[in-house]
Amino acid sequence: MSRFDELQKHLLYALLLFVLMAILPLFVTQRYLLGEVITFMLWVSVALQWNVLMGHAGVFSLGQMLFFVSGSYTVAMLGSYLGVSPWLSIPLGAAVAAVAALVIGVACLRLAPAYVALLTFAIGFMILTLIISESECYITTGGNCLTFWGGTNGFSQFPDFGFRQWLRGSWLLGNYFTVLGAFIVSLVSSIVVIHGRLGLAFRAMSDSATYAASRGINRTKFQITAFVITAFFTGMTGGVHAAHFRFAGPSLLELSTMMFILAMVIVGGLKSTWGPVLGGVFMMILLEVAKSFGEVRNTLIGLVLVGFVLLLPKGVAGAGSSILAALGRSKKMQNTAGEEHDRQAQNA
Amino acid sequence: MDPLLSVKQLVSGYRRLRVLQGVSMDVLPGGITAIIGPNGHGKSTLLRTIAGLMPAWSGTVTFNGKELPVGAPDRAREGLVLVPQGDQLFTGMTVEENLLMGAYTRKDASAIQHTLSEVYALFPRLLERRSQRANSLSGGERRMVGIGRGMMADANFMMIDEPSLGLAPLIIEQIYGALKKLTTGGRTILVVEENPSRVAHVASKFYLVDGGYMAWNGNADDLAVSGNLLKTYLGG
Amino acid sequence: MDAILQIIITGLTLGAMYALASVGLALTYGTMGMFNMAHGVFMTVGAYSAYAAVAYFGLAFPVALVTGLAAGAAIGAVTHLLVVRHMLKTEGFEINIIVATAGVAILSEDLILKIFGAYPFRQPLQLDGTFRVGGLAVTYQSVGILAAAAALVGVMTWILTQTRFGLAIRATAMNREAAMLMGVKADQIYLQVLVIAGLLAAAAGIMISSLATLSPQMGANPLLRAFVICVVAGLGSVTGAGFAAIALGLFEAAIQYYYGVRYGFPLMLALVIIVLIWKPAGLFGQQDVIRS
Repeated sequence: MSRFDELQKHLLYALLLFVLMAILPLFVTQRYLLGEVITFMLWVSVALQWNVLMGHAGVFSLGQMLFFVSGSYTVAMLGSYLGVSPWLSIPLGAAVAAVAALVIGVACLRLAPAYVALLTFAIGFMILTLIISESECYITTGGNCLTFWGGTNGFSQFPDFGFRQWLRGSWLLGNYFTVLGAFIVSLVSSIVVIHGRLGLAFRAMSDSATYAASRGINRTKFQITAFVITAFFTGMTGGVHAAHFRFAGPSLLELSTMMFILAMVIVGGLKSTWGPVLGGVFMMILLEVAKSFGEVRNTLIGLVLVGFVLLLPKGVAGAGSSILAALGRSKKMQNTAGEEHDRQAQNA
Repeated sequence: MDPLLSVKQLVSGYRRLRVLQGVSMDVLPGGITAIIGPNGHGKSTLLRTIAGLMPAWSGTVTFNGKELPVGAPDRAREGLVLVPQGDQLFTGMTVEENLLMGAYTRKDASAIQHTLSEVYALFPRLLERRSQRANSLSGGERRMVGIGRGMMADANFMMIDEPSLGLAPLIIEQIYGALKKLTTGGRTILVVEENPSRVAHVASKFYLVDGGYMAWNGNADDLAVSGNLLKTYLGG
Repeated sequence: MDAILQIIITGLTLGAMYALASVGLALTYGTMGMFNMAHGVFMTVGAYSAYAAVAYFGLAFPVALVTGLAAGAAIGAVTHLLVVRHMLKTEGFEINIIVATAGVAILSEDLILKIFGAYPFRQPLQLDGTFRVGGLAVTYQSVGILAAAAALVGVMTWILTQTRFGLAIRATAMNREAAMLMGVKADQIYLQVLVIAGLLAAAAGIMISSLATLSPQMGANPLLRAFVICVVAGLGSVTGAGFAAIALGLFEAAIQYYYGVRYGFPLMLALVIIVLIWKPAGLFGQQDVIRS
């Protein structure tokens, strides 16, 4: 199958998924469940971008939440301070994330993967501490000190998508379809990058680094491109997240949040296209079930990460294709054994 | 005479690529035995498999009449020494530290010191440079450290992978001179060389590995009369 | 003048703790090529074990100290035996091990949270009291930390350079296959390295918690600093890590004094990024860090 066919195939699947998700509210009417699906779509959007970056572009970034937060905070702060509607500030937030990615990418991506992991992680951690430890009060309202960057509590009560005015009681549906739109945009962009020219370049570079270099393919430049593109859509998702939950806070930068999304990527399978979706389903169900056991969220995430890396490093998607490949191989061996037997019979 | 090292139908390779197709050979104790053959046809793989760095897919390797344990560290403790291709020195360590590492499996400190002085006697240049870092040495000196390191195990059998690799002819002569001296103590040396001319005058037995198979073997006289046969394997 | 002396003392104390935290990490990376994200949790385990020894079992301080160190060594061993050992020969090890050890880290942090709760206990292993040098007040605790750190790092350096065991570790780090050919069992070496790293981390954890308080997430901050120190020194350079740690400790103390605590890490990080742009392998590193 040619590359273009691959691309078309996956886009078709995406369309299918879109249709399925679009009619879902007809069957799922419970507020809580719809909310969970929205959460699912938001996190999977981030996981999809992270999968493109880590699994396909080979950039081991532990700072994706930085870009997410760039988007959320842009929406939250423009909304809180200037009353800007998310419809305007979401694209802006995505742009902010992209610019941040460009700066960080140019500074760090030339270095070895482990260094990139470390530095992106460190930058994220640093921003988290800076936000939390800010002490100067920007606004003091009757005994309440509000710092400029929101401090530990973050931002809330800022303008959201505005569906309450139009749809009244069904405002959640409005949010649902907006989030669905963002989700599909993220999904399609990830498919286009993976199966388009950029993905081809990355596969070439990972297959033979020296040959690619000799053909003038500059790995760092491509990685920075992937870094910026994935940051853009991650930031967009961050903005949508803020607008839906009407909240943006430093807890988003905490390690456990990042590990949760990382688990989705790992469970799904790093090099796959649909892995994050599968991983997302797995993690959301797992955590839902875990809620009945008390506060075991982090322990479970840790176990999942260790377990999958040890036992199923290619994730669910990888395991599936390994099984298919093994079946195919055994069929082929049966056939060649049969041919060999025939040939020997002829020669005898 | 019983062979010191006996390899029977050894098959091994990398991942899915089979390199050794069932190689058999016997190394008799004493003197230098040479494995020759075109590059990329399995000579190094053979040594590495015997040394235990790679698992054998099938076949056996017996040493001193016993089957060898799995894994290089245990084989090293049995007295099977490999001086690997390209030296593989511990570049951040000094010459002396490299040599001492060669004696890792030995416990007797004075015996170790004795062997160390033997190495320095054979390679006086190393004595001069004993406190120098290994990565500051010349090619010939590194080769000496590699061989010296092998000597430090005080084993009576040493395998050396391409001792002449990358060296000037004069240095190669020195190295082989040293190897010849080593065998006078009753040591057995198994050498891999691409070109038989380098080792023709010192080795007593030759094995030709071609395409992962043992294609030919003979002693020094056989080698002398088999010029044409060998040319087809080694490309003249 | 007093300010400078104060900065030096604070800086050296910080540097000593960071050195203890970084040296184990540098050793792990140098020998196994592994970024141990669970290193911070090794510190936490050591600190809490020492605390529990005193608070729950009423053991004497020296015994509690040894307990803490032993706990660190134990979790190092467990991490190797259960997780690292199985992943060593696989491809993508460098990346996968970061994920796996991160998993171990949040798992362990959560367990500690469940066992001890979130209350910030005071680390009982403390030397109380201060004495005066010139116009300065110096705590016995600072001196204790400096002495203990110097001793531990000194012992480890001695082991690495003067013993057969240390030689084998360095050999494995430089060339695993060649070391195996000399009879070194790499698996044993890796176990030993993680045990040493765990022990040193536990010591660092006990010290750090004695200056601040105990909390299940206390390892995150020092872990990051240790990483950054190792990176700036050049991954795998153990002595480099030690020096970089002291330098960064002094730097952070100075920044803290003049600008406030919160700017310490950001400025340090900025400095590190600048150093890396200039010298991508770190200040003392020799490894191939840049890809084409």
